[in-house]
Amino acid sequence: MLDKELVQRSLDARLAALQPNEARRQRIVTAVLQSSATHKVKGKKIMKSRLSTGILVMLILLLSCGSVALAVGLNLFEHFGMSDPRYAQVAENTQLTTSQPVHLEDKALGQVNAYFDSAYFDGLSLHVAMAVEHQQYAEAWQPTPEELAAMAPWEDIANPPMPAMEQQDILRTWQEALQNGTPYGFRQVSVWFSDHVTTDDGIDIPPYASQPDRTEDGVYLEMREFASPLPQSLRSREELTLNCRLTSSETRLWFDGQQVYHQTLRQDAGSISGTVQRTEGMVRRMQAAWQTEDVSFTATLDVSAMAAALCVEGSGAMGNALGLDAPPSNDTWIDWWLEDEQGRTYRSALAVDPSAPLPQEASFLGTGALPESLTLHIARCTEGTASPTEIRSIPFSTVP
Amino acid sequence: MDKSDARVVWLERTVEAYETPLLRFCCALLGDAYLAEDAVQETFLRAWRGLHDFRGQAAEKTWLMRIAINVCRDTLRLSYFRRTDRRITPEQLPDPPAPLTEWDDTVSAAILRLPLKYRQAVLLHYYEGLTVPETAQALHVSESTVHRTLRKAEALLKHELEEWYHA
Repeated sequence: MLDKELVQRSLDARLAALQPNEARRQRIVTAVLQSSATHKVKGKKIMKSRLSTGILVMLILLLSCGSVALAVGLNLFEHFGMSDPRYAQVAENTQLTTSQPVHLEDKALGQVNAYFDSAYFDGLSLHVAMAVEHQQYAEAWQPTPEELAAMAPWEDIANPPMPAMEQQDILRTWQEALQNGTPYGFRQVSVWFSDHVTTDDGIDIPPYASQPDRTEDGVYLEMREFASPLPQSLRSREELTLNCRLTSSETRLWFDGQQVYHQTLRQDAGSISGTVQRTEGMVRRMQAAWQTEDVSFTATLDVSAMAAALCVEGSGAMGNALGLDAPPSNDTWIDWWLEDEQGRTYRSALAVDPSAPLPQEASFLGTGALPESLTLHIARCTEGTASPTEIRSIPFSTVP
Repeated sequence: MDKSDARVVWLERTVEAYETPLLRFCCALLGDAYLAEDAVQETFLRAWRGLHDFRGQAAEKTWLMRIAINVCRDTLRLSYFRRTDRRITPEQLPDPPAPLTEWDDTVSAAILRLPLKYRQAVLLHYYEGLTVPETAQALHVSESTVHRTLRKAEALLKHELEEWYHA
């Protein structure tokens, strides 16, 4: 038998730098409470909104009447490019030709400006950067008897519908009030982008990921990446006119010392739109052909700076095409990636499924630069082994 | 104290009690202290969401370890994890207050090199001190499987640790 004391002492010594950390603990507690609140909202477990224009924040929608040219300023692709170099590399091709922002005058938030800042579209991939100035505001709040009468008791007191909040002091005071049984309440007003971005002819473009950020002065920024390849009907368009709806919401929470009361008021806050031109010459088609045990396979690659779409054709399953002699065990998996002439890697968006029947499509994330040539590498990875074992590499040539 | 208080108190207590053991455990499984921090946060988040389902059939620590294992497995399955250089491997952590002896260094390195299914069993049983039935609960396997896995892990370690292995 192994010696428990030996294992514990040696690993404790090895991992001794990972010490208890009060700040980290607070971050975890805050993140759990906040994420839980967000989860609730997304799960639609909160009470239905009772829209009452009399109570709702006085929003005056000042939608611009026509398209306006974008001001030339710091492009958000350059901003997000500081953490993801892909965006910096394509930043020069991301200026919108038109942008229709939304301006709201809100008592709590002040002057809210929401807009598409920039976008990249090459026919294969779409990335959109958007921003909201004065997006969120929260303050301690006590309802009047009339306001309290309009609120609903929250029965699951263990899970009050907490909004995602930037103001940690209010969240902390709320938790302390619940713990101490002292009355406390707050209201939070915010403006949000819809999850749906649509074209002007109504195509809802499926999103892949979104990266939120916030500037020091509280401007909410978001880089939204859409699933690649884009829907077939969009790939050949010369430009895309995009629309995204905005929602303004006010969440009110009041704890009277015994019972939590809740109310969420929501209102459509207009729609931003913008037009992005297709960046020409940014998609290349490549192809490859090979044999595995006398069976022929072919593959095509549509490649841009930001994405690659692979289609493998032939008979049998993906494992046959990739030359896998046996399915991976629990401790192994099959990885694949594309490598360009400069050694830059296109990561796969999803893991390889060797049992998937052909033809199969797969997508890869780009590097920000359009490659001259690509090689598909397939490797078997084993847990505990530093380097994967390459099974096969397939070079692709550009289709003239 | 109402239910809301109780849940927040539970969260703060368990974070205080298990944050560091879980962080070390996840770091040993993932081989990356940076990702381990994310994994610990995700573990507590899943625990919080599943708290109403926790009926106490397993010890609290066993339950949290089981969640942590699932979180780490999910992380290991992610394609980006396999293609990304580790940011802070256990070897790159700051030096401990007392220097590692050659003995401790060799043993810990050998454990961290074990394949995942053996490493997680060794970490749970020998490092976290879970009993074999608790380890089986955490891994969602039978006790006999835990015994077999530990025996195999011991054999692998014995091969690397001939000089220090206690027969």
